[in-house]
Amino acid sequence: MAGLMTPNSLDELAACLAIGNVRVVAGGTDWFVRDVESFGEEDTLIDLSGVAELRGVTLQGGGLRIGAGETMTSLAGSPLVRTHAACLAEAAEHVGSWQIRNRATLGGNLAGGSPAADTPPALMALDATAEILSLRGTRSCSVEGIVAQGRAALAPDEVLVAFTIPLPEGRISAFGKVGSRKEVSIARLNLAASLRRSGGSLSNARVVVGTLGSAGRLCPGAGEILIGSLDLEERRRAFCSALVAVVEAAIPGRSTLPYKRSAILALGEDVFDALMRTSDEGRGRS
Amino acid sequence: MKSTNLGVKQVFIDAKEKVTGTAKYLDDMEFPNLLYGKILRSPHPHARILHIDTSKAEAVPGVKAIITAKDTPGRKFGMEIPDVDVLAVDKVRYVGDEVAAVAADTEDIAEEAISRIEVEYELLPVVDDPETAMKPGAPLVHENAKNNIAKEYHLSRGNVEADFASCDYVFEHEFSTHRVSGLYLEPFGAVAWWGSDGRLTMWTGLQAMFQGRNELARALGIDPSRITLKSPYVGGGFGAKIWLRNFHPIAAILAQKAGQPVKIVLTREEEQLTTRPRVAPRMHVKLGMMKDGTMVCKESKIIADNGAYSWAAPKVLLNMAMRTDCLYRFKSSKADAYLVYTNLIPTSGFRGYGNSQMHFALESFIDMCCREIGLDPVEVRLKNAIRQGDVTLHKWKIRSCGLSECVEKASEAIKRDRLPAVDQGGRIRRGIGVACMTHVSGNRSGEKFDGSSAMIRIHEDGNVFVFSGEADLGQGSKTVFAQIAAETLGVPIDTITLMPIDTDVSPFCLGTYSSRVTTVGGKAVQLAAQQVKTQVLDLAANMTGHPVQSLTMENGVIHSSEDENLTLSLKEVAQKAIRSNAGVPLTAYITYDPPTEGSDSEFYGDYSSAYTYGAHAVEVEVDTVTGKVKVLRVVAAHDVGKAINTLGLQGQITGGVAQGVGWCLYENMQFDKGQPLSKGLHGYTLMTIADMPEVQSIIVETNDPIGPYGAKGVGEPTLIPTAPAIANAIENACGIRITDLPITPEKVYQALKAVQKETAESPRIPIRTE
Repeated sequence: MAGLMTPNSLDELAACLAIGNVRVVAGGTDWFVRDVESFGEEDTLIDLSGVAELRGVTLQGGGLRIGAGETMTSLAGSPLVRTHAACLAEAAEHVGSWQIRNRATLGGNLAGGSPAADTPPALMALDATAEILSLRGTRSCSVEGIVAQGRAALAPDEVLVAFTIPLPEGRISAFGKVGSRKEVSIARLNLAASLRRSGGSLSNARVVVGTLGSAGRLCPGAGEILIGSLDLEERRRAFCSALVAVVEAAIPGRSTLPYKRSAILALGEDVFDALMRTSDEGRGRS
Repeated sequence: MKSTNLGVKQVFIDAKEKVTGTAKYLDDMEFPNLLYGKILRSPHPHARILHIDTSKAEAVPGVKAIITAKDTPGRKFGMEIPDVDVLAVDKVRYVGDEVAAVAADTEDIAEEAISRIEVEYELLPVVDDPETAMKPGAPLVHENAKNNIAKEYHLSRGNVEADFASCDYVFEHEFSTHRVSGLYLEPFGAVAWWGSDGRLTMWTGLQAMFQGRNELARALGIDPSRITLKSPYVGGGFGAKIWLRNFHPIAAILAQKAGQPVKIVLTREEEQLTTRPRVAPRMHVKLGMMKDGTMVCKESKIIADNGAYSWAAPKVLLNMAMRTDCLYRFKSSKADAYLVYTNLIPTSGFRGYGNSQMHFALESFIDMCCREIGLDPVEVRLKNAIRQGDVTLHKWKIRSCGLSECVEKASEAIKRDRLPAVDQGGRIRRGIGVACMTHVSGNRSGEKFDGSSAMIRIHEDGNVFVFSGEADLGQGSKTVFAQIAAETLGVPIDTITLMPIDTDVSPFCLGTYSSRVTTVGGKAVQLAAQQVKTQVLDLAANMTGHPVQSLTMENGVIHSSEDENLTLSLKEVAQKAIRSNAGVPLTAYITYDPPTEGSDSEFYGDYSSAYTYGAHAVEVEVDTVTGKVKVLRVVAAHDVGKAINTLGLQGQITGGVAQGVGWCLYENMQFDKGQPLSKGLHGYTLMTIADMPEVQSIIVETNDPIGPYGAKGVGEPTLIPTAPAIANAIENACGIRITDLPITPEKVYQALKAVQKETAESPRIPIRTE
């Protein structure tokens, strides 16, 4: 290792990036397990955990801005996140174990590029946009776009700074996951969904299935059914069937298909019920 | 008078050191001039070694010794079947097999040197399945083991053929269990140091220290008395630390070659690669029953996957073939059991020692059979249960037995406060299940010693040192020994120190396995305490002029029934004994061997000091859509003879249940053509605290006539019935039966689908009714 840099601000971070041959690490929970071996002698490691601007959850101009360095623990416990981005708080709650959640960051969970990550489907369902810093300046990219490109989405010297989640009136969301055990579980399948409820009508549904070869797959068909005009029971059934179709199309012939088909049914039911419950509660409050 | 030392919640006597982090485990110890040892392991499951070139590794600065097979004495070692080389001689037999080793100034240098050793391999065909391995013409793991069979047993009691012919029902089914890792917190390791007198001292946390010393002597080709083994604190073992590993002689040879002490501590990845997991058998079981539920006879054919080397697996196989025959009053039994070499990680003894595997088969099968003939499986168990005074098929004399009480209490308790059987519109199904167990507290073969020794020494300040060679791996035996010594002597427990094991000083003991430590080790401590107490009271009688019969010691003070004002302290007596011309040693060394016969060449005979019994009852919840099983509650009833430390007992039960649930539902060491599919703990699904069910323990006391104060062992019993109880509860919940562990969500899901398909067809189990 050529050096370790511990910048405390974005300005200092920019100076570090200028060194060249840099690798960035935030919580390190994936990096130290997976990437430490491939770390070259010429490489400089930049520890992002001290950069103040990477933290913070704030309401800004009709959106929710979340620093990419926020940990899973802080997201799960944040009243702002729980209120405006429930599925993200729930996804954060499902990551790893207590110790992992205390270190792992939102940015790291996306930048790691794992198809089994928990928070990217939630960010996608919430239509989040990422703010990315490099020596070439700052650029924006939808989380959907980043997920679509996989690990190639970010150059080695690019740093996720923050995510912005638009907050249309009356948005609700939910997350579900099927894993092999309750904690420290690598998601076998996860599902995040959001929609808008205004007056008596539902709109703007975004349904995202994770772990099907990529960290998130948008399912417009399932979204349409979610806000469609069928009665509740039929809508629930049709929603689940649409998700099954997505799984079948995504992993045709795979040995895990029969199980994932059933697991997505269960997730579909759970997420649908959670959304409708929240929707009712919302109606009660307003 | 109610005892203040026994049957109480006694905080472990070493709890403070452990909780505050001052207890020294092997890796915490410091040694001057210490070198670090690393091992080059085979990346191939089966390959011939053509050439090893260590020249580039030797050139790395800081490397002090490099060894390959040619630097070892070339003696095979192992237990019943010596089939292990210290370092691979001509070929490697599993991924992880030891090929070469390096000692260097730092771990990094040692690793660097290891990476520079060049080995040329010729790949050989891999056998990864025991049934394939037994076929003629299969590649041989060990050239001298025909058809890869390491060991076979053929046992027959009574006339099973005739009994099966007279049964109302005969059922047959196959069961299988898989490899799981003991996953003790502290990775295994050793520090080796040769003194100027030519003696080897090794610090290592073995469960069986004296047997380890002899095995090490055998591997090194020296007399056992030239070796001292010393035990630091040990962070768990569960059977995988009973016997030596290759790194023990490797560390010794490296230290000899380098002329400096060498430490080898396995990484977690090495542990998962080379630990000693549970033997993985396929068990074809045949059970003969009468219409009234009487279990008449049992036949089993076992083909067990041994892995590359045999270690304790032959004994594990024998237990599998025998022990469940002594759970019920069978009239006859027969077993044909084969242990088969494969190119997978060697298996060995793991908590339950083969007994757990066959209990999964039998205790699952009883429920399946009862379901088929419409009987209540709990009543059938009670009807057939072994009872006190029985002599079993294998001639075990059952001196104490609380099996029926355990079954009754556990099955009653699980029925209380149940959650609804159906929930969420039928998606969630809940059910209960019960399974029983029997195990041993000791294990005598022929005329071999099966007892324990203990030494107690009282110092001139009145403090008591207890020496035992039985190892405390964290299960709390030091505390149990202290309680027994305190109770017997009549001194406060905080005046007692349990001395660390040192094979030069400690009394000869067999070690921590067979759930024998409390029973025979505790008995030895009790007898030594009685002997030293006699020395104390005899001297006190001389000092006071009161007859010895009138004297008692309580809380370290001697009282006389003749003089209520007499207060003579143990310290005063000890000073008189040691510092005056009285010349009393206040030391006792005793060897105790229980009054058992030992099994003969046909494995007949009463071979354990005590036999333990228990029953687990569980409530589970099955999500019929995802196939996920959640264990909601476990009621664990155990006949422990007499509870010595109720806190430690609770710990054993909770820990056993956790390992039992993990074995049943989560953990699995998987391989693809001999290559392990998970590295370290990544990809190995260990149950976490979040999935741990509530455990209610029920203590049944049967006051065993041999054990100290009536106590029997409980270490292994606590995980034996958990898995079959869960499998039984799953069938009770949703009608599916899984007979091959682990019970994963995918298997449950597939079984539910299959049941839905064939609801009209019957029967579910292939059954032959006569």
